[in-house]
Amino acid sequence: MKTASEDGLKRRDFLANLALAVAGLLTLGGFAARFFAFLYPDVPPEKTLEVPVIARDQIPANGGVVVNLPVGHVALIDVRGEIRAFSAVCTHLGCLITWQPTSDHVWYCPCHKGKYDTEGRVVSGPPPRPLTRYPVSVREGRVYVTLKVRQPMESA
Amino acid sequence: MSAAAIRRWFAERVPIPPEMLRKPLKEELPTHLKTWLWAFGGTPLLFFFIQVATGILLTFYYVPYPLHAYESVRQITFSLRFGWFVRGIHQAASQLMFVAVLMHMIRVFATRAFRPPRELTWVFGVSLFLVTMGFAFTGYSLVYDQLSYWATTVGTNMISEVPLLGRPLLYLMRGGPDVNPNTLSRLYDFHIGVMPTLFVMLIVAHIALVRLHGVAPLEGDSDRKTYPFFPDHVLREAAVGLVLLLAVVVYVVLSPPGLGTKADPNLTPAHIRPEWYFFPSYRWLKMVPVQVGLWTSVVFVLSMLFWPWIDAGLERLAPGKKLGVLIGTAGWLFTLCLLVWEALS
Amino acid sequence: MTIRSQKYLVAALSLALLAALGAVGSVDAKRRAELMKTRAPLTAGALNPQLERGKLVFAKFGCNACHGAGGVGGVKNINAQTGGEVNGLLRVSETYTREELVERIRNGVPNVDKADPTGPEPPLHMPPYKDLVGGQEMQDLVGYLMSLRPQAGEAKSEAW
Repeated sequence: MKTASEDGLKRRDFLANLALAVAGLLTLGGFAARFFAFLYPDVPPEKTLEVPVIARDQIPANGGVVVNLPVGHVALIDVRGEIRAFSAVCTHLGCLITWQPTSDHVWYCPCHKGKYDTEGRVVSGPPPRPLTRYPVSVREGRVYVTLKVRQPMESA
Repeated sequence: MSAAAIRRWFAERVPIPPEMLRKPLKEELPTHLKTWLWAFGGTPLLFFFIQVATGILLTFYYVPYPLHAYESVRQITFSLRFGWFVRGIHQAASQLMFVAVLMHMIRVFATRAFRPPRELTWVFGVSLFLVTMGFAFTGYSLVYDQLSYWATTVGTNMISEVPLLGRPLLYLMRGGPDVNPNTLSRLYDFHIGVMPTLFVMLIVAHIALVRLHGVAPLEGDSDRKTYPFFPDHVLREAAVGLVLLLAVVVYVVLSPPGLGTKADPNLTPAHIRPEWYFFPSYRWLKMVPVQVGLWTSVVFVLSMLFWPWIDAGLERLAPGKKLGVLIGTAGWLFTLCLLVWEALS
Repeated sequence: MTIRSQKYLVAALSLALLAALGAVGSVDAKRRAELMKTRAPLTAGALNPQLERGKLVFAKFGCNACHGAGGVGGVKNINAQTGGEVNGLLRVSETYTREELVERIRNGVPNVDKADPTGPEPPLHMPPYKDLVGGQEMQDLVGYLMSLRPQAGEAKSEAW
């Protein structure tokens, strides 16, 4: 049969172990939190910006071109004089589309054979959504596209 | 699911005999280990773990190519979240690791714990000390600021003084005749690949030997009182470790790391000095011709490595006169004097 | 010290360390606040590293030696028709297409027109750069030149 003091002893031992375990785990957690924050990339916030992309006369009449900027890839098309801008990133898995004017489509993604038309809609292939459309403004012979951009990640 | 059932599940799949698990925990240690002087054995290991952890974190951002290296260290020190903290710990712990290894070496030397049959433990221990110096040298070269670049140039130049093998060794270490982009890659690989592997192998051998032999008894100590490794000694080591960790963190908070000017291979700075742990050799080499300096250093290192046999030989030469303790202590004091002299000049 | 009190000691030291880690957090937050203040705002101009590369190419091949820093002109070329100076480049986007610029840089200008036909030959002329500049560097250089604009109210040297 356990005496009262034996019970007390057990309880005090248990408390000491508990204090040790809790303090230890919390401190380990503290280090883990700091180190995780160190590793997690410092992603700059997104900003909507009107960016000059290309000279107007570099887009051939009724033609298309993909412009690669440090902040994104823009697909531009001239449809009977109207300039349209889309994201050149295929909505399937992120490959870049290419200009490939045919009877049914104008943009082609080489990775999984996705095809888009002059309005960015999916004609065939696995892409789940149409191409993201961007507002365009042509001023003084330059094409400006309104994009959601981020500063490129800082690196050495 | 009871604790016993979980234990049984493990015991069936990882069949370690229970006695083998319990034995190291139950090991009885002589009570002379209870003094703070004996706390220095585990601390180098603690610092090694800290260095590996912070080092791995740093490799996520560090770039081992000239100029990029400097930029990446700048990014870590001034831009990244807690970058100053991770780098600060890595720097501070490297200094303390040196101190801890030295204190442990001095303690083992003073208590003559290297006596037979523990000579090999000592040899592995001194090898660990040499690898620690290697870590310090290669690590410092990675920052690629002025001091770092020129310290590397001077340090690697020493190798070319070795007769016959000097030049090929220098080319091997530098990846070319001069310090070039290959040099940085090589030193980086030594620092994060070759030396950690060596260190781990040596430390496993060192600790295995300590456990197998048991802690060396104190000379002339017939008192056989003991206390258990777990939980007594473990708690003691944990307390010491935490105090040291606390010291490191507080230090880094109060004195965060900085960065010198970018390395310029065309301009040697006016005041160039290695880190404090290299002061003794630095001072010595300033005093004597290079070849003399080189060979005396080699003899010094070899005498450290083979000290148990030198000590035994001295004991046979003059029994009871403790020549080993005298000469060894003279050696330590001489090194300390060189260090202090260089530090003050 | 009993085992129990040693456990409490280790626990207390752990909590002290935890407090120090908290201080680390606030120090870091302060540093980041300072850092954010000095970060350049995100503008359309800040997004074009090609202009930065082009600027480097311009400097690399010593174009500023004759055309002035940033193409601003002002370098003397005695008896040259372009106002006795080597022409500036601030208006090239108005008079040249990219292809014309590429040709000019590649072939140089072997004969500089004289202001006074009876006067001396202008000492400076543009050498051909076709064996020195090509590929990406040429693209970056031309991109940079096409981005140059005269400052408002400035009447610098004329492009020709």
